[in-house]
Amino acid sequence: MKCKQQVLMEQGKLTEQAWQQHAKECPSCRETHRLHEALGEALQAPAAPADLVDKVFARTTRRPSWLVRWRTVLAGSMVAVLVAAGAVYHTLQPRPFSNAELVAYMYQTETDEYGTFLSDLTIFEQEF
Amino acid sequence: MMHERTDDELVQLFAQGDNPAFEELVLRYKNGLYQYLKTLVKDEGTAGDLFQEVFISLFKHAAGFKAQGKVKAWLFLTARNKAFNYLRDNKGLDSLDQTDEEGNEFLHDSLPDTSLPVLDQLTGEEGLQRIRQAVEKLPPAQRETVYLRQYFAFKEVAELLGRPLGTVLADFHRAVQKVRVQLQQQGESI
Repeated sequence: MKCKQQVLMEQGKLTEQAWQQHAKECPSCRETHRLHEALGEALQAPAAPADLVDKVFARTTRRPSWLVRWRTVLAGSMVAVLVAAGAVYHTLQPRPFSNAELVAYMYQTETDEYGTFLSDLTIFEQEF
Repeated sequence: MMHERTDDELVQLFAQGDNPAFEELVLRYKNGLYQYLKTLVKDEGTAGDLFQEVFISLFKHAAGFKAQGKVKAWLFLTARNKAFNYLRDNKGLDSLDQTDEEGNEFLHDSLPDTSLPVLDQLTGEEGLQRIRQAVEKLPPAQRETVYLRQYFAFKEVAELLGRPLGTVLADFHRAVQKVRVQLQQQGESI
């Protein structure tokens, strides 16, 4: 049979302080009181993960202001635009011939001129 | 010093632009809130997500707070609502409102008189772990009441849960009795 004082406490009709005072003299209530204390100790909240708190702060108080965020976006965009412009400019510039291309051009030119010369010579010989 | 301020003072300071006041609130309740969410949703990742949502919600709505000493209750109630919504959407809602006994009456004569000193066998971290395990086996509503009792008075728990004070008292003390019986049975089986 449960102690009457404990029943009153559990029904909210006896303050916890009064019950604790009673528990000093009642073995049954003392054991129940010990269990209440043990529950409190066992259920003490362990530390929440530190990264969770960091995430909250990163999304609230330590979130960059809209001005800083847009400044960053703007700066990044300008860099991208400059790089792209540089690439376009570079593409449009006349590219100097490489040595191999130059030699091939000269050979072809010389070949064409020699061929033209031979053709003209043939015509000359035929007429004269 | 921020940690000496009441919750209402911190909210008012934050509403005036004092960010460290908000951070103090986060640090003050982070452990209890995270533990409570883990109790409800049973998943660390989800508890972490909901944890962030609760404080971000506070960040957004703090300006509308009135100094009524309700910040802590607001945090836990918001957490509870978000957990419920998550469980409902993910079909994990095993009815946190269930309790095996309703109303103010509790059958204190139906459980054995466990006045044996069960706690004498529970020492150190192992003993605390066994108590935690016993609590985890409680019905959801009783388990929730036991955890909330760590942060609130019975009357505040009743207000937060929207239940009569008598029901909350009955839930809690019946839960304590069940934990005691479980621990005693474990002790006898050892």
